[in-house]
Amino acid sequence: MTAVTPTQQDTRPIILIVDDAPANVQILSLMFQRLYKVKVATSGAKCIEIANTQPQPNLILLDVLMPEMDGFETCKRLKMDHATSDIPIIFVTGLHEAHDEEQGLKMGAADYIRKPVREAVALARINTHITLHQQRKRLEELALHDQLTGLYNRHYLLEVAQQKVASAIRHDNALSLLMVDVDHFKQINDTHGHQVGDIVLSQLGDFLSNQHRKEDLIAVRFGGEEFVILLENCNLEQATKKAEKLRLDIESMKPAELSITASIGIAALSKGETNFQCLLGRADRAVYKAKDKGRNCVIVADEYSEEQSAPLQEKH
Amino acid sequence: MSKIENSVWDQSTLSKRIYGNLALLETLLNSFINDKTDNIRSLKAAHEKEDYAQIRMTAHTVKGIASQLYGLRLQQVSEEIEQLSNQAVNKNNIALITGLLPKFELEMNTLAEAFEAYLHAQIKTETSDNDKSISEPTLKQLLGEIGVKLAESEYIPPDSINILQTTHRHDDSLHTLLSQLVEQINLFDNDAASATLKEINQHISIGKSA
Repeated sequence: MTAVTPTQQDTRPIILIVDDAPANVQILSLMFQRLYKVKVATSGAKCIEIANTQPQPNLILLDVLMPEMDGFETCKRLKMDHATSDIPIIFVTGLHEAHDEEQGLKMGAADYIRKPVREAVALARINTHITLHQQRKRLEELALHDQLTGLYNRHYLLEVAQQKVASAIRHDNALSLLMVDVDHFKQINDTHGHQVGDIVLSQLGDFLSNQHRKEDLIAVRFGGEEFVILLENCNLEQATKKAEKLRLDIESMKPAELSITASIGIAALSKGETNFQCLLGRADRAVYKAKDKGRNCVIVADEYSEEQSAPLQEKH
Repeated sequence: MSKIENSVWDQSTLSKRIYGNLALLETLLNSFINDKTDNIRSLKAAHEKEDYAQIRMTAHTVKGIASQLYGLRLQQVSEEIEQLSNQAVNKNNIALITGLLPKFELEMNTLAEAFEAYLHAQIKTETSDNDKSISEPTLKQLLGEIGVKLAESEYIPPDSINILQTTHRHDDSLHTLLSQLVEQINLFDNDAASATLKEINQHISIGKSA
């Protein structure tokens, strides 16, 4: 045999096997490589490094007794890190005492398998935990995405946006926000029906999603015909240029063969502004001004002031 | 095989467990033989220092390896030492561990000899395989694939790289580097393997331009 199996298009779940004894890693890898893509590590530190690297493992098989950093400590660190905390861990160990098993499970491990490993039992347990993990991920995805456009939803925005604001303040980075509202959308629905309205929103969603892949931005369907775009490392001047380009792109898009336009409000995080709701509120008020000004235009929000800061208004 | 030898090493169960994968079997046995001296030394040093955490660690590791390789007698004595080191505050246990050390060393050596005998017999029947070789483009492709897998910390099965130990024998330094690469991959020393791979690629490109 002269070829290492190609890695392209390998969509099998990834399991990471961690054991300081190469012989154990070899045998476990052989058992599981037919069903899973197997990654390997011989220390706790390496395990943490691989767990933090994309694509992340779907499950970790972790030995307990290892030099320097043992399995319990490795598990603890993985569970404390937000990026790795939800990866299921199964301890695979020669420690047969009940209190060891108890300790492992208390640390957040999903399961505990004793050596020597019985292949059929281990595979069944691994499969169960990978399936549960994938289902949980799918549910999370559904909860944070808009079903029609596939973009992130309002819930996601409100969950991450305040972190983005805090991070921008901490690192002294620019942060801007565009609020995009499709003009006369009610007329589209009334004239052409809701199905056509959905196609318009869906195609607009596809367009924003492509922008998301190209640039450092987060596009969100905020509600109805309203979209929010969060631009990291982007100051007001740059955001204004992007907004104007976006307005022109939307104007020439012709989703469902209809001409549409959008009104866009822009706000950039200002000095002293620490609340995402204020930033959002300023962009929202700028959209109202754009509507008042005749629509299909870009309006920069009023500068932030502590007295005038008001959260987002509810639109009717 | 006699009954006593059978209890030293249950070869048939191990073979079944690894689906008759001879390349993997050889890797496992060589790994045990290579680590034998270090493991004995480590246990003796820990015992001399009365470092019972280290005794426990070494005994536990050897127990694990012996159980995976079905080295039954070694597994048993390692397990006894591991259990005793857990309660080493008891002076009787310390004396018991001292008493078990010669048995541990004996079983390590006996198992290693059994493995060496097996490998020796395998080499005799596989001498024709020593001439196996691959072309340079195939070698380059294989090395490229290994590079990707090393970068991703992906498992590389021994039977997929065994050919590197027999090919390009006409180039001594390349052959040495390829064998070194196989050994490092089999021990999951990815950093060292990546460095060796780089050296091999340089060697090949220099050979080409020369």
